[in-house]
Amino acid sequence: MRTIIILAGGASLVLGAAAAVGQGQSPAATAIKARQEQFREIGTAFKAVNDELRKSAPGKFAVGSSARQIAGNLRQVKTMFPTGSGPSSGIKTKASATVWTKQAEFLRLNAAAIAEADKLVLALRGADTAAMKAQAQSLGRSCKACHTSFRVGD
Amino acid sequence: MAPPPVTRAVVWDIPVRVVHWALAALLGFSWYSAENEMMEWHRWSGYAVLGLVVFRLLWGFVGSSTARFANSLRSPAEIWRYGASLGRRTPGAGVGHNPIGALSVIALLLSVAAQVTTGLFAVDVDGLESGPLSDRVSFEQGRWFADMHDLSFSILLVLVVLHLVAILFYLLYKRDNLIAPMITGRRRTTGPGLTRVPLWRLPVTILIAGAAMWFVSRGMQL
Repeated sequence: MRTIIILAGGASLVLGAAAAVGQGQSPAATAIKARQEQFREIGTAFKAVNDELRKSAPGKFAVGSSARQIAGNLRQVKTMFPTGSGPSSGIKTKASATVWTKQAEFLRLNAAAIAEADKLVLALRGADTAAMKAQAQSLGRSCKACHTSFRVGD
Repeated sequence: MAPPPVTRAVVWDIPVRVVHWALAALLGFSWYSAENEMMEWHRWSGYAVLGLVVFRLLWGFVGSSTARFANSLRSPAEIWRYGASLGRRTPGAGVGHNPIGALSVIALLLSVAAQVTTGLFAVDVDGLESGPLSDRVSFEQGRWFADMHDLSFSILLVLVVLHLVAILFYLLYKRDNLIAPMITGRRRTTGPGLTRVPLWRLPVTILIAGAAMWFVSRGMQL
C-alpha cells in the first residue's frame, strides 16, 4: 500500500513538473531565451577575438570564424525582439522598453554594428595587427552604443 | 610600587600607516574611475591595490609586532571578554589591534582581496574592457566574475561603513582617538610600543609586492 502511495506521489510530481515546463514556454519567453543565447554567442565569439589579439603574436586565422559568427548573429537581431518580449512581458529581460519605443534608432545602431563586424572580418583576413585591434575596438564601441540606450543593468 | 609612566609610544609602523591610507584613497579612486568609465585609470588603481594587499599580507608575517597577524588574532574567549568591555567609557589599554579590531582587519583585507581578484578575471558585455587575466576563463565565467566584482563591492562598502562607525564609537563613546595614532604612529600608553624588525625586510617586501603587481598587469605573461 505504502509503495503505491509513494509511486503515485512521485508520478504526480514528475507530471506536474513536466506540465510546468511546458507552460513556461510562451512566445515571449522563447524569444527572450533565444536572444540571450545568441548574444552570449556574440560575447563568446568576441572574447575569442579579443583574447587572440591580446597575444604578442596573434594567430588571426583562429578567430576569423568567430568574427563571422558575430556578424551573422548581429544580422538576426531585428528578428530577436518580437512585440511583447520586453519588460512588460513580466519575464526577466535586460532589453529596455526603448527597443520598441525607439525602434528606428535601435535598428540604426544594429546596422552600424553589423558594418563594424563586417569590417572586422575583413581586417582579420589581412596582415595588419594594429588595424585588427583598432577595428575590434570600433566594434566594441558600436556594441556599447547600443547597450547604453537599449540594455538595462551593468 | 609607582605606576608605570605614560609615554607616547610608537604603535603603528610606517608601512602599516601608508598601506592604510593609500588603500582608503585607492578604493575611493577605484570606485570613482569605474563610475566615470575611466577604465585605464581603474585598472591601474586596481593593480596598486593588489600591490598594497600583497605587501600587507606579507608584512603581516615579517613586519613589526603590531603589524603581525599572529599577534592580532586572539582566542574566542579573549574576543568575548573584549566585547564585554566595550561598554566601558574608557580607552583600551592595549597596543596594536584589539581582538575585535583584528577580526575587522582580516575581514577588510579579505574583502579587498576578493574585490581585486574578481576584477582581474571580469569580462564586460561590450568587448571593450576586461580584466588582465580574463583570457584564462570563458565568457560565461568572466561574466560571473564581473557580477561577483559588483557584489564584492557591496560587501566591502558595508565593512568600510562598519569600520568608520567603530572608529567613531571609540572616539565619541570610549573617548579613545584611534585616528591620530594611524597618522602619527604614536599613542599614549603605559605599555611598551611595537617591536621593530630589521630594516632590509621593507625594501624586499616592497619588491616582491611590486613584482606581483607588475606580473599581473602583464596578464601573467612574461
